[in-house]
Amino acid sequence: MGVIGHDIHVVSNRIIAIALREFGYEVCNLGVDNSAENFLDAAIEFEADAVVVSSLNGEAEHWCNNFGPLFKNADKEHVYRYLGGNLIVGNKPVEEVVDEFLKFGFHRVFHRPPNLDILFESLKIDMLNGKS
Amino acid sequence: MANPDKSNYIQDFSDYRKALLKSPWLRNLDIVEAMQFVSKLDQSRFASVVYAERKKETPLIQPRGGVGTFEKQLQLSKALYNAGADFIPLTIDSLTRHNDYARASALAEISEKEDKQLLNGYPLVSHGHEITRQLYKDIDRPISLRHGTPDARVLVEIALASGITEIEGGGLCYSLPYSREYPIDRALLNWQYVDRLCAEYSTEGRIIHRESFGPLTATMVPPMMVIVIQVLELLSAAEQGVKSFAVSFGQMGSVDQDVATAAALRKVAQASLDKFGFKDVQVRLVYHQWMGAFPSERVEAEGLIGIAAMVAAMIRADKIVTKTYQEAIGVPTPEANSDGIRLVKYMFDHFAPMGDFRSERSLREESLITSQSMTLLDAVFNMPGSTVWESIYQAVSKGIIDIPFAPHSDNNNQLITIRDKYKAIRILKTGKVPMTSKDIETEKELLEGHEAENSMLFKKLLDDIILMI
Repeated sequence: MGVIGHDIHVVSNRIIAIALREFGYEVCNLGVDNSAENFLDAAIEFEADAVVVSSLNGEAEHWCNNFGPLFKNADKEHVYRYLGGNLIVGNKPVEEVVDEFLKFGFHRVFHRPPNLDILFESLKIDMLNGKS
Repeated sequence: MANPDKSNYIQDFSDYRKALLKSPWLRNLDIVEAMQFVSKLDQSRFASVVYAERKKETPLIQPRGGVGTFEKQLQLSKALYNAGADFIPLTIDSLTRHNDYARASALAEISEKEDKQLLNGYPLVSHGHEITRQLYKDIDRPISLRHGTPDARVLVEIALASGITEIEGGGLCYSLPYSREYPIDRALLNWQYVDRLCAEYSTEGRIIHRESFGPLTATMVPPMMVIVIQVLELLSAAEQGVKSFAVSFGQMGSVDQDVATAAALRKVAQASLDKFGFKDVQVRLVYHQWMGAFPSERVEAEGLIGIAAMVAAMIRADKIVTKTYQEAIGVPTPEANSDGIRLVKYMFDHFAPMGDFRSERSLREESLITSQSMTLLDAVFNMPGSTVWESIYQAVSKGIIDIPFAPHSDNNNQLITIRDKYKAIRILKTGKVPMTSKDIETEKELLEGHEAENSMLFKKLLDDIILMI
């Protein structure tokens, strides 16, 4: 997990790391200011089941538009990919934004979610299903 | 181990400075002319003089503010002056803070030509000292440089030559909370240069004033960590010959804890100066209004600004740094900034000063914070190193200095804090930060009954961080 792009919003990043550990996950937190490649490298190194990508400064498109193919080419397509935060500048219907980012190769996308529960719930369901 | 000492003064400063002056961004700077200019500047322009000659008992008032173009900065400065600000701020844009002067200059040029605002502050290095002097030719109050720059050597050369006599920042407070990668050892050495330069520019009756930035990440930082960083930066500045220095901290969410922190900070700062033989340094106390997430509703934001003004008066701060009701929205308009100043003035004129009011809880908090700060300071001075900056660097690397929610990759992130039922910040996990068993026990007692209320730490932390919303 980590924050993508030249984005130094560290508070929610630390909170998500604490929360995931409390839920019993093993967490590798890349912190702030990461490229898509950093997430792939960490997923390979730690044999991750999921990557959780945050973006808060509205520049997500530039950093995420090749996320799926990057994992596919490295033979890591099975790794669950989540993206959440404040993904765009300005106002656009949430569903449109979600659709747009799903196409970049994420399994689940949360644009301006009201809280973090949606991430933890989805992760729980996906990880249980993935194991069965 | 190493103790602060006058002999840690940079010996070969003039050679060091000569090398820096080769920077292309300083080619227009004639340092002899600049030092003469500052030595003849009216005394009303010196923060150190304004502090020393303050008549009223209430804190001096300083807003924040910086914009990209000369004209807009001139208008903003005049608006703040007319609203009654005692200090006029000059806040620097983030490209300049990251030493990207070329890009800041390009955006400044487009901003000037097309009358746009492409920068989030005043690009002082790009504008240079000559034009910046013009900003302040009709202003008889001190100008304060506000930034967040790990390497501020070029910036401060130009600031001083512009007649800016108050320089905020420090090797820790402007690196750990502001940068992910900037090497902490280099930041500490860069700020030695800045401190020494401020001492070099100081003349009889015209002392350059330094200030540290105590709010740090403004997110759940416990008072002991604030105090220790403030005192380390005060002592580092004193080593380089700085004679006027403000320690500071930000509103934390509990009035009792703020009052206790002010008392402990004053006490530990003065005791440390005395202990290491720095006899002639004037120390001031600055209070920052709430630096965390601000309510977006105007009434609520103004309630928060009002109570912060009240606390500043209660602790007899020498200065308050103000916010505006537009804080949640973005960079405030000059009108909103002026309203913020008026609100604080109203509070000061009608409700301060006051008598003694210390609660028992606040007194207990003060002795706890004082003890924690002394333990941590001793631990820093006992770290390996032959000079204090090396010991400070070691203390960061080893996690002895640990700032909650700092983005820097060297920050240890093991110190975990939560709020008690009175909203005071308590230490839940010390990480590598040294604390006596008695102080750990006291923290536990003060948390009693509250920790279990919410079984998930992350939920409690979220609530504690967004306290004011």
